[in-house]
Amino acid sequence: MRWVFAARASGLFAIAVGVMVLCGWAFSIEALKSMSLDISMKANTAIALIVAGTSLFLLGGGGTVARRAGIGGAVAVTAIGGATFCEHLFGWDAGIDQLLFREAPGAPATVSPGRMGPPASICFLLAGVALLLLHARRGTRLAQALAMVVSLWAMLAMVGYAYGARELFGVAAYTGIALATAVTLFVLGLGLLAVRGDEGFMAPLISNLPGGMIARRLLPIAIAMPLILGAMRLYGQRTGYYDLGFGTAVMVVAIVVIFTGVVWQSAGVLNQTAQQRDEAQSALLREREELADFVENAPVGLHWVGADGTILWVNREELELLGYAREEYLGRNIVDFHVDRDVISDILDRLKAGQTLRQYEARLRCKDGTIRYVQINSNVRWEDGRFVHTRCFTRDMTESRMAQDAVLEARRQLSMALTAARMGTWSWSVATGGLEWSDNLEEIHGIAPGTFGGTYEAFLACVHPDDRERVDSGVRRALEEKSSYDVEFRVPFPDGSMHWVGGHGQVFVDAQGNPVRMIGIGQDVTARRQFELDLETAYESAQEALKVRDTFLSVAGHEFRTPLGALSLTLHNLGRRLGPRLDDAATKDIASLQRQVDRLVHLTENLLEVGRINAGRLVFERAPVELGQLVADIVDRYRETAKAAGSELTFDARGPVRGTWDATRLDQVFSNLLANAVKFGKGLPVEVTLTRRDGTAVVQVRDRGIGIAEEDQSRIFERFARGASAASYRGLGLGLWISSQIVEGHGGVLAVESRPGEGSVFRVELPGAEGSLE
Amino acid sequence: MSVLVVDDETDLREAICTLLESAGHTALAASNGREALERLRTAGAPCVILLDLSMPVMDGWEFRRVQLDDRELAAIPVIVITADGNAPEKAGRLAAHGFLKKPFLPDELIRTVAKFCSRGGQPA
Repeated sequence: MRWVFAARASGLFAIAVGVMVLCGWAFSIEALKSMSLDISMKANTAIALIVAGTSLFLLGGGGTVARRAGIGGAVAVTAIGGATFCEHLFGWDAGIDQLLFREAPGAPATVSPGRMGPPASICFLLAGVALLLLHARRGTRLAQALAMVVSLWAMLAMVGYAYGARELFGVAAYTGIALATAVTLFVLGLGLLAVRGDEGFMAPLISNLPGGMIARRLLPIAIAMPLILGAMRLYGQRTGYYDLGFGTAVMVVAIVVIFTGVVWQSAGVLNQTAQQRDEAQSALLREREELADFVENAPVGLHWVGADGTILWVNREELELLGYAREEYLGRNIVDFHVDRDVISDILDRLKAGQTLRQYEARLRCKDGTIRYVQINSNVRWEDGRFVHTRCFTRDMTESRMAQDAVLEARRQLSMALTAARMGTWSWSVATGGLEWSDNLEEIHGIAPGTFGGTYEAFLACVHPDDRERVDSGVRRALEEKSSYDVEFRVPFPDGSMHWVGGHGQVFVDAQGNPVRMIGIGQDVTARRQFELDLETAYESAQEALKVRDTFLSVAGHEFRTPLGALSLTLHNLGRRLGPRLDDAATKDIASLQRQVDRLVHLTENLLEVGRINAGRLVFERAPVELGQLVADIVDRYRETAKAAGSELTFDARGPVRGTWDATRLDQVFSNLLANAVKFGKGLPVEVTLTRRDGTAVVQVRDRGIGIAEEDQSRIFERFARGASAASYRGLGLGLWISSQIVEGHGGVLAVESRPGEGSVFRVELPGAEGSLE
Repeated sequence: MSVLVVDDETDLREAICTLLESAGHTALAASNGREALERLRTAGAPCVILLDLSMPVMDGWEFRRVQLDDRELAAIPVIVITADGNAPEKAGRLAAHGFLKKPFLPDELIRTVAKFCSRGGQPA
């Protein structure tokens, strides 16, 4: 713009000069026509200057009209210059010289009245062509060359005026030109050069590069210095200070000195500039290296990808992340490294559409085949709308993703476990009162999903009114004691059914020990509650059944006693009465009847005994007993039975063993043991011994019969148990159980030692024994 | 002297009487308390009374109360014969002189009666 401004200024200058001269012609003011010199500017010259100046001014900008006017002006200037030059060349008179004003013949340096000299006409011709070219925006270099010729030609005349060399401006047919014309044409030429200052020949001069700078420094010196030195030399020579040779020598030396100085200074400036540039360049280089190093070693994966997906550049972190060598990665297509095709094509589409991706999730395939979860931040570097490459930041999210997955997995498992256990979790903020429930708690409390109010009061509202106080006090106690809460309560469902929920919670306190949070679980325990209830009912009815059974056994047993008593006595009487008259077979039958009655009596008594023991009504009538006599009587009683079975029955007791025991009950015990020994004794001898060990009486009944298998030995003391198989021996299996109950009732022990096939030893130990013998 | 057997079970009562008589005692039978009282007033005092407790018309408990209230009868010893449990305890409550648990063995009966009566009806 600076140059255009200069061009316009020179245009205005030309117009001003032209107008001034025309005024001189119009009002016959000689001073205006010739600047008080003898050679005047012609009217046509003034007109041409005005038109050329206007055309130049219009080159600086404007619309179509201005451009056309500019072109018209250029054509007019060319025509005026060209026509006048032709008049000079061919000696014509085209009649254009005095169109406006007449001039008296004989004006200095004038070929024909009113005709401008050859230099001016040629300059106008050249300037007109230059203006045309500039307006047409063509041939800028040619226009500038023409403008330069105009300026130089004008300058030649100016120097002529300055040095008084009249040959250079005063010869009418060749060089005649007014000083004002020369100066204005010089300025006009400079304006033409300036109007496109940044193009053509002028471009290097106005450039900001060192060449332009140097040129702008040197040019004024190169132009002004010879003019000044020339003027000084002429002045000195004319005033007689020195002759031609001396003046020339001084001028040449001065030129050499000044030019050398200028060159020297320029060299310094150039060197300085070059040095600055070098420094700037190396600083830039270092900066680039630092930046490259920074990016290469950044702890985040980076790469550039071309528009076609080719990887153009990658940093170390990304290579290490994926495990590839640089040459295995560069040049390949980024698509090859993405697990999900649709993801990478979406990424590239978005980037091409000018989007910036932020934390875009993708999966990349490593060299070893594993898959990495990454977050991508990326956008495209554009240059003049051209896709240069993407800038992609790749952050490895695998570990956090896996941790996230693990958390999700654990949460799913917990949820499954909770669902399976019909359980839910809750968390209650004591401060805010907010109560959060997991989804399944609502179902457990009979509430539609998503309708729980989220407060402690909303929870209490679910609880059966009769249980609320209990639940509330349980929670308050847990808060007060900073302990746990554990309450089961009823929950009435909207459908009228009653459910049980078990609530368990734990209080958490802050640093000051104040309760801040309570978390826990709620579980549907309806099924368990129902089961317990059923169990209780079943237990009660079983107990009832047992009681009924025992009552029945007792009643039945007692009812059997009377007829058995009658039967037994009657049989006895019958035997006595008929005794002498009966034959052997009948006697045997009577004895058999008597045995079976005895057995019935025995079984009945055992059943009654079981009932008594079950009811806890086994009462001992303790009285002083001499055990030796008691056992001896029982042994005597069984001697016949043993003999019938083929067993010899022996009793060995050394002296009396006394104690306070229930003789009847002990009779029961020893009778039972003797009966068993005879029954399972295989007809081999049965030995009964009585000893006293400290305060304990020990009665042993030893047989050599079938014995008892080891696995049966503890079992035989249970109810309804039998050592031998049920098929071989009949009985209720109550005898040993009753015996052990009786012995234990005396604080003693009934034990067995046995080997199958070798016989058994039953041992009764009774505490509280006194006596004389060991 | 005789033995009075008081029991509503005819078979048992008669078996006991037969047994006693075979052992040389004189046996008197009554099927309930009231009959027993009549027997006592008509036949004179036996050396011992064998008394069942559960009987129709007048049970053993009522009989014993009436007997003890009657100065002439109160001294006659009583043996309780019962099929119930806790014979010793019941015998104690009735201030009886002994008890026999049904079903008892012939020998038990003979031994027990012999404590109160000599053979041939004389007191032992």
